[in-house]
Amino acid sequence: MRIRLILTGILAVLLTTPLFAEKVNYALGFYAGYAPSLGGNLHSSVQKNDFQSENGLDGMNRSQEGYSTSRINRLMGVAGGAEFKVLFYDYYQLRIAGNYVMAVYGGSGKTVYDDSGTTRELTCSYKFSQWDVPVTMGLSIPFWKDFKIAFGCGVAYANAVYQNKFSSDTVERKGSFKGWGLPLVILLEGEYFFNDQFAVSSILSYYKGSSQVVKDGTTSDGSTDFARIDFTGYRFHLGVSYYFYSI
Amino acid sequence: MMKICWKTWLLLCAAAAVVCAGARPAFAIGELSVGINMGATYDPNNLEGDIAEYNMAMEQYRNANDGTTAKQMSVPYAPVFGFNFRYQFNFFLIRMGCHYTSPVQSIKGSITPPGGVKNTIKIKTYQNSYPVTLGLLVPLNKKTNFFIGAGPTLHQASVTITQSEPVQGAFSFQNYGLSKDRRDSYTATFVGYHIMLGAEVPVHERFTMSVEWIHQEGRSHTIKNDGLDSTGAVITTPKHTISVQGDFLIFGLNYYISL
Repeated sequence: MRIRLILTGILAVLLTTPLFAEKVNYALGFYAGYAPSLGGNLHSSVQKNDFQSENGLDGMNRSQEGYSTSRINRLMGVAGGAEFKVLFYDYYQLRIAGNYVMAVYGGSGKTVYDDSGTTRELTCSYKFSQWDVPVTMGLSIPFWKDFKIAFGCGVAYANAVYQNKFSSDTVERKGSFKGWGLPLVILLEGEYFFNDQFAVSSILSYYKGSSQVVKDGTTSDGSTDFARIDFTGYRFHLGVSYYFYSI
Repeated sequence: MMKICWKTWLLLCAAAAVVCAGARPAFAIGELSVGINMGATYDPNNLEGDIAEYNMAMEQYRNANDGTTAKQMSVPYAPVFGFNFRYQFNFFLIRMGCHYTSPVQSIKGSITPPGGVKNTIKIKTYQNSYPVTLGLLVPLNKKTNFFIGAGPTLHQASVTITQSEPVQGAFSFQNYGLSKDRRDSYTATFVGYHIMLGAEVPVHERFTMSVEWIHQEGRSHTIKNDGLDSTGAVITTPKHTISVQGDFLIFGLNYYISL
């Protein structure tokens, strides 16, 4: 709530400040894209203690002759968001955005594990969704007549929900984790202008960071899991931008 | 405390001298610039995994033992300070620099078992990096450039983990596959590599402002522990490596020198 208020305040001040009127331009953009390897390896303590995986989903991928297993892929998410940019003194750019990412592919399959000397099949399922507000500062460089490339860096407030479920003939483990973090953000954005105010954009962003260790919120399975929510990863977006004043 | 390796400084000075000397042919074809840098990095010396292991152990113990209090360690952001010399000619650049980073706030957590004494765990770390970059420069306007490059980096890195009361009653990090030593300390000098992407724009006739991202990779050889066990006796094991994998975000102010 406080963050929303602060962001709204910053936007209001920037939009109404006449001080830089002639040197400042504003832009609003919308975009959508995808996020590979969402949530990283989705490690949790249950996977280590009960299912012998030191590195989450990656270590859960096992097979053994005589057992029906299938590959568990890392999650891929679809992402979308909106951005607001302030450009000042020709080259400098401040960008605030709001993003939502949700896993749509991967994160389910079958593996085997050692249950006190007995090999058993285990069905695995992972889900992940995240929203974040990155604030970046950087350079926006126009070149030729109708291109801009922006390069910036900053930090994001990220909030995510990560869920996992493991079931075999004898056990069922469910985990649900909610956490937040302040990952580092690196952003590379290119824009092609159709006219003086409209552009199509392509954005590559990289997040690096994680939450603290979070306790499992699910108690129905009789076990407690712990996990660190990983925000590290790349996002690729395509979108459109509208500049308030002619570039 | 920052430790300066005199051999590294000598190497840097010699390299800068070579660049400066090389930049004075009969007709100058390139440009030389000097920059000072400030920025930030997340998780210097790639300690996130280790910190998570200690945090996980504390949380698991607290969950299983009523009356335990625990405070997790945070993965730090750290400021980066540095400088660089850059020589560019046509579309090429060579750059030598130095960056120093260390978290401002200590990385600190604690656990107090029921009826026990508070065990405070602290991590101190620093890193000196000396990257040498060869790259391509994409000039867009006068002193407005994009640049991309890569090269080797000489690293000096140090990690020290201390625990105030490592063994007490039923709790020890050793039960979770972690250290029960009072101090584990590792320092090494080794070579890694980096890639760099950046842009710069003019601020004044001879000054430019730059923003760049440096991703670095590297792992030390196995290092002896300069440590103390739980009783305070000197130990040299377990041996460990230091990973410097990480990302630096750096803003720079550069001054172009007339040749």
